[in-house]
Amino acid sequence: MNAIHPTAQAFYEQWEQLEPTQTPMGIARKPAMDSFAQLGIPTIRHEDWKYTNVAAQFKAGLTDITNITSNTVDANHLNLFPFLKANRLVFVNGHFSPTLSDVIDAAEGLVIGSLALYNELGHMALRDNYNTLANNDKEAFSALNTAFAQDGAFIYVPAKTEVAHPVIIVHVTTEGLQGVINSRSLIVTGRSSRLDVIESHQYLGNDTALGNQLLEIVVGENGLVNYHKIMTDGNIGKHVGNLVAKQGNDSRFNTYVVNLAGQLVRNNMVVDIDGKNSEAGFYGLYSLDGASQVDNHVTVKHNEPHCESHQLFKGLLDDKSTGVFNGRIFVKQDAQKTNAFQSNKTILLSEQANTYTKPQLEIFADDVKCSHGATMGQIDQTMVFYLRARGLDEAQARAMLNQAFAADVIEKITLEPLKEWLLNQLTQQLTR
Amino acid sequence: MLSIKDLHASINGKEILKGFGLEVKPGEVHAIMGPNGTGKSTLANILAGKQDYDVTEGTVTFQGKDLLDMAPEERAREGVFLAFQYPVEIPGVSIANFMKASLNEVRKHRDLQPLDAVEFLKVMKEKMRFVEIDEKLMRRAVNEGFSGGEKKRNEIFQMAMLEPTLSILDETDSGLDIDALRIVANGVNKLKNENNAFIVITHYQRLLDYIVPDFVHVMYNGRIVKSGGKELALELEAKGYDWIKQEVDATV
Ligand SMILES: Nc1ncnc2c1ncn2[C@@H]1O[C@H](COP(=O)(O)OP(=O)(O)O)[C@@H](O)[C@H]1O
Ligand SMILES: [Mg+2]
Repeated sequence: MNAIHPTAQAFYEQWEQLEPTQTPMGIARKPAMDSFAQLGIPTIRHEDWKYTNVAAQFKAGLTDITNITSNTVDANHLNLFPFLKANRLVFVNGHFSPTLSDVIDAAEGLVIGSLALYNELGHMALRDNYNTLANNDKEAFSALNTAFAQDGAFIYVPAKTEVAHPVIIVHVTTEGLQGVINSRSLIVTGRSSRLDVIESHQYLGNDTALGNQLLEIVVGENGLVNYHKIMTDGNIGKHVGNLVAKQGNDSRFNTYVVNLAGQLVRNNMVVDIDGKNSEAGFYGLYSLDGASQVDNHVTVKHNEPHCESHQLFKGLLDDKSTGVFNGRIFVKQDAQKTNAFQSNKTILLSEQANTYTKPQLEIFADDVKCSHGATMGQIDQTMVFYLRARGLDEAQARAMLNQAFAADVIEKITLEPLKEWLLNQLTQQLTR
Repeated sequence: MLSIKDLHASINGKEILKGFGLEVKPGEVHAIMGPNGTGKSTLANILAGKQDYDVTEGTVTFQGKDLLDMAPEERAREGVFLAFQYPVEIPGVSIANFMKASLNEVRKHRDLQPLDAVEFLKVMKEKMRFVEIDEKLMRRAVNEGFSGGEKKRNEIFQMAMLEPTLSILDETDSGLDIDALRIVANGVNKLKNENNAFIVITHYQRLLDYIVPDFVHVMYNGRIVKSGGKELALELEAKGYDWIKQEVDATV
């Protein structure tokens, strides 16, 4: 074996202490650790990490703390989305909390629970799908996650099953921890099924660990999965999230990512459209202030013909905040009749705010419709004047225009109560 | 109610208004006519509070207060309303939402309670009927994808909602078919009373068949060059603006 990358050294020593197991999670650890030992933590010289200096976070010599933290927390400090009738899975510092969780939907074969548990039980869908989508050879955080993660959500939706209520996955990070918390989730949905997932990240306090999350989603043939990633509650700390998904024929998969805060957030989304006549939607809003930084990386791979993808990401950047959008559309030679659209729009509310946007189109088929566009600018003064001429003061006029700009993304959400709640959160942010 | 005295204003160093004066009393309708580029919209925008202009000389008092000293929203709350020549499209802001915020600000200024959603909807529907606007339009974004006529009717609708003391209509009639024109004119005529006043800026005499003005002013090159009764509009319609231009240019 080659020398271990310096940033991986401490992790490697720690990893050697882990108890080896012959479960799917256990078996995946070694190759992943070997890969991470080679890759190390990416620096800003790495093209994909140019604007997000995650390596600086590791200077202090962070190690994995998933194994040493407890899963107790005061429920009063959490937002468990009381306005939604839903299934709830709560994870504290990467560990399942049975007392805070509550599963209300039941159907033959339906699983909504802890990955660690079903890993032990050897669930068939978990054995077949765990770690099949993660790109551990190239993605350092993915490899790190696979090497260390202990728990997360496992959802299995059998064929022809529509999960009646959304599944809310709450990831809580408690205060005063130094290190990396790895959490891992897997969602497998069968043919003609339906699932709505809401994933919320909540950080209790300013000084929290870095969350490294990996989520694999297999969307079954003719199925529908709506996935919402919500980072709106109070402090949102340091977070690297990898979503990797694969879609079958005639399937639909929508990803909604809403950031109203984030010290240092990286949302990676990689979706392989592996079936014909399928649709993927990616909708992102990052409305930021202070020194917040949110970096969205989307890759959609059109591997089959007659598919459609939409990417709409909007940034509203105040103070010294930074928004990054990197959208890749990859169309294979065989993926004829592909329609792929991408749009990134940013409004800069302050002179110190930064935005970086980069579209990457790699198209190898000839009969395709692809478009991409990026705009950035200030709020439109003629609009502000129009509203003021009707009696709104400048702050009201601006809030109304910003709300309209940003709400456009939230309006895409089909879960009505969640949409209303988010619009309300946005209003509160923009009028405070 | 409104007193404009010797108003001079420029934009980007170019003088547009060159000694404009006008007195408007409650209950009056004034028509301002004049060729394109003469400064009519400039005047309207200055009265509404658009900040792109430099007022270099002159005064504007509205109900005893210095209008030029007020922020645009204060003017609106005090009862000044401009129906824009080119209403701006505002994506994502519904007319209902916008008007609710707007009306409640104006009401607050008049020491009236804000309207709740139900009361507001009632008022809105009533005013929509008044300008014959389709209710569906109210849930759409302000002016977005509206036809020219819809935009102008939307301005009159907003005027009806806010019940201003002084309304300035900047070429609201331009580009309207006769039906739309009649609706706009009816709107003005029904709102008109002894306490409010209108300044109707127009390019065409046609509108004045429906809104009968008390005074007609001809504006040319940044000021009023001729004033008269409603028969002046007919004369302009028959003879065009050239004779006015010649008359004025000859005396300079
Ligand atoms: N932003 C600007 N910069 C320079 N000149 C302008 C600007 N806006 C308007 N003008 C000029 O001001 C003059 C008066 O315009 P306007 O008030 O719109 O006239 P009207 O409404 O009578 O047609 C025109 O000559 C026009 O070209
Ligand atoms: Mg004009």
